[in-house]
Amino acid sequence: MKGTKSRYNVLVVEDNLGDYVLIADYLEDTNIIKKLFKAEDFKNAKQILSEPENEIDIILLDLSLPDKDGEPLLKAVHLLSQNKPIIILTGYPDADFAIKSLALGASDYLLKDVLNSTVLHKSILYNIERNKILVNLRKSEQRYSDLFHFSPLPMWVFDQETLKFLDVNDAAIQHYGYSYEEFLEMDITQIRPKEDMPALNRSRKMERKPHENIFHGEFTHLKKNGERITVEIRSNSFEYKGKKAQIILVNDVTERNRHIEAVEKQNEILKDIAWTQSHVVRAPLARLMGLVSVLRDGKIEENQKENFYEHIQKSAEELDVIIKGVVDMSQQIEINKGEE
Amino acid sequence: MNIKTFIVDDDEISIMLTNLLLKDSSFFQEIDTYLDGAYALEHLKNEYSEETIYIIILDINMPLMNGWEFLEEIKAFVTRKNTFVFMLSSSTDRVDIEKAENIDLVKGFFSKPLKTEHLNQIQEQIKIEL
Repeated sequence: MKGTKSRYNVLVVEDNLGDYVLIADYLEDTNIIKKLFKAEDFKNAKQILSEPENEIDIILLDLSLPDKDGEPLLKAVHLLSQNKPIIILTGYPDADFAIKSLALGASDYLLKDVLNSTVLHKSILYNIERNKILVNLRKSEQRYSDLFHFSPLPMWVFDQETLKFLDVNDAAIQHYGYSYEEFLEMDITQIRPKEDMPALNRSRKMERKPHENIFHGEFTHLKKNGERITVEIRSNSFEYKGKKAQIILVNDVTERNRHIEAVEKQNEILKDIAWTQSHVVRAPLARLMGLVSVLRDGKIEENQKENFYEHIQKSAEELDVIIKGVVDMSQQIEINKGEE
Repeated sequence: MNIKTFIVDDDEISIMLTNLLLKDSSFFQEIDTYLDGAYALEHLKNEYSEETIYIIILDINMPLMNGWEFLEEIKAFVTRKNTFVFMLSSSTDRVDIEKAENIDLVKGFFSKPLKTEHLNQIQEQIKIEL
């Protein structure tokens, strides 16, 4: 067995000394043991597993110990095992329990009668490697689940047939005010105002291709407290736990829309100001310019000049009133700002 | 050929100033002033003759009939051979200027107040057209 690079810390839980010696011998032959730990009962096994520095890589477990046995023993060891593989060693072939033990967290099930170093070697390597893959797979699943649950944008999955919520993420729970359990009791019509029902029903009838990202535009949604929000919706269809489902991504644009509205209102006022500048302000100004230019060119009689000064005065006053109006309009913009 | 000038403007001071300038020039012989597009339209309709050259100095904003509406109305009975319109407005709005450029009868757009150079432009333009 030379050439095997990896070596492992193995815990053998076995109360029968004869069996233990046999197993230890086989393990010795496999040449893959870094350190061998021995436990004679559950209490002892628990002690060893609880010490993190022992770094147990795999557990060989006899299922009949003096202080615990069978199913409860396997469950208890599984809880302590930190997801390390457990190989069950037994003297009796019991096909039903062998299968059940796999469901309870065991990785393999070996009969002591047919045990030898080759079988052990293969089982240990195989189960450690397979376990690594399983752990990685579980981590990867967790990562994807986290991407959904911890997404900063509200998301949910709903059943395309019943419209029931199948899953909702934390952001949705926080944003809409319903608890996770409340959401799962509801269907998507309950977060939509009544007047939107016809549109919702039309939308339901549309055939959705799987894995096609659709942007649906803006909708009104209702929070638990009755508050109406405007949201942008994206969806994608997929199969979720065997059901035709849609995943929904929500972007609350209520604030953004309010802001756009305020900016548009300001633009209107600015347009008014620009129009006033162009049309109204220039009227008395043009008059002033004309009057002054005539006076300067000396085109009028002396006795008419008084009349001209009068006109200049009036035009200047008119201009003053108009400019005050423009200032008032500009202040309106400031006031609108203050309302936000 | 007889040349007739219409001043159409609701601002009396503007009319007075325009009149003062026009009287300095021998080119503008006969000058009629109207305080609204509606009055100008009525007179032009009655007296219009193809033997006369009409120079119309036209304001835009007027209470009864504004400059644009006036242009729309006279289109029906005047020809561009003898009728020359020059917009005279306090507006410097690009929209107004572009609108004027797209009307056949309009030969110029001046921002108030009217200046001697504007009158020169009017004379040159009319010489080209005739």
